[in-house]
Amino acid sequence: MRIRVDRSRCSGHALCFGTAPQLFSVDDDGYSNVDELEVPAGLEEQAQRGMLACPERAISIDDAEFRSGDRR
Amino acid sequence: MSDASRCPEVDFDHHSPEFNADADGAWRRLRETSPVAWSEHHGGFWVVADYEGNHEVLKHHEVFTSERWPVDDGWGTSFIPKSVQGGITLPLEVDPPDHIAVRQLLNPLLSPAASEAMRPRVTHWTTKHIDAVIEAGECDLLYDITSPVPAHITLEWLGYPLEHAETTSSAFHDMLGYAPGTEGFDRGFENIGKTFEILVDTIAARRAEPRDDVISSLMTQELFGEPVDDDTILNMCIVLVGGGVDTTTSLTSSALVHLDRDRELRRRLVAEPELLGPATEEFLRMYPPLATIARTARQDTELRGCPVSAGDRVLVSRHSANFDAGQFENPDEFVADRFPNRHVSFGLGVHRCVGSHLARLMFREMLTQILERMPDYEIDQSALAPYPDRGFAQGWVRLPARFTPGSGGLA
Repeated sequence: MRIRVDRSRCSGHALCFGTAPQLFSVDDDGYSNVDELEVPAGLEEQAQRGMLACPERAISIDDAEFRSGDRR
Repeated sequence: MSDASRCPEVDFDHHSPEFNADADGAWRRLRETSPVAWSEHHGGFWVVADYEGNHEVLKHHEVFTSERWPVDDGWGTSFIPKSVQGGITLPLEVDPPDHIAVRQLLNPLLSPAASEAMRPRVTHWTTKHIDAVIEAGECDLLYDITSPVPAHITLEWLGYPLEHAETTSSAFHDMLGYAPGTEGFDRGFENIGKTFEILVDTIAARRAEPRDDVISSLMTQELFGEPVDDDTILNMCIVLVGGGVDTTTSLTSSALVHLDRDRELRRRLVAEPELLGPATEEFLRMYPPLATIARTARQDTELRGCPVSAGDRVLVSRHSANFDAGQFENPDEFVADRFPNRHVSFGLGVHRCVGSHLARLMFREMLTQILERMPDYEIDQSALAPYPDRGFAQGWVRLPARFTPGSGGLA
């Protein structure tokens, strides 16, 4: 599973990091400093929670099963 | 512009007595019938009441600008109707690329780590203000705690002389809490004037003799290739004071009113303090201190199927978006551990509230200490009054309360 962060949409809420700190990382000002990352086995649910925490909807996951929690 | 056909058209005025008699109902009707609609009030404006509309407007600053466009007429753009005159506020009224330069100055001052570093001061001011009333067994939770605490934290950080802190916090509170033409409003207006004067004097004093505070630190920075001048600092200070002093007050006050009415939830928060993290987001969703924000269309465009013309003013309701059933299941229900909870109370896009991390910290500390030290507080519901005009900001005028007296001096 891969996570993609559209950094042009990131506005520094830092909620991905706040929700799943073992996966997401933000710079000193709270903006995402990753574009893409591979999710280690066992952290899929954390990845989904991090995605769903983003109010800007800047985070996507390439796995249909874990996209389903999204009500957009 | 005014003869272009705009539909649907609604008779909607977010400053009218009818709206303020039932703001939740007014937003619901709009959201459910015409989430984007044209109103002829206040010179004409589009009103956006749904969640997707908030995203479309707030995330596209190149189409829906915060700038004074096409010309700077001397009036601020954040409100409909335009009601505040003065210089361009930074970074509120500039879009990228200039906006990025201003935010680069401010972001480090209010980053997650910088906010966390302020935790000892947040604890200090909260403890001190509760100490002052804890033995009495009664206080006004607003004028004694939720208003002065964020004010002292913000103003101390800024470098503003604290002997004037309550002049400033009550200034913003009174102007929002009382209708124009009343004594309360006039007092607020007068104190806003004093706040400006004090800021001007403070900036001059720091220029002569810098200290370890935000005003002094801004003086050492550059903006657009020039050293930051005093007017620019004044301008940013106004935004930081305005953003810092009455907003967290309203959020915390609304949570205290909610917990006065829902004692079961209060017991749960006392028993399970870790619930306060997600519950903070739910309080933010249900009680956004700033209900609306305005933009101006910079070009002809279509918004959720509606024909928007260049120059049209657009009012976006964050409050209404937070109750959109398309985004939030059972939106009228308070769900302490709601997840996901992508409320838009801090805004979206480049203008996202720069103080959000500090705001959450202040809110949690005030709520935690109140629930620890006055867990049985009871608000005099008969004395409760919401802000008379909730078209822009929403909060409570005062919160007289009683509680079992405790002992002070814990600080």
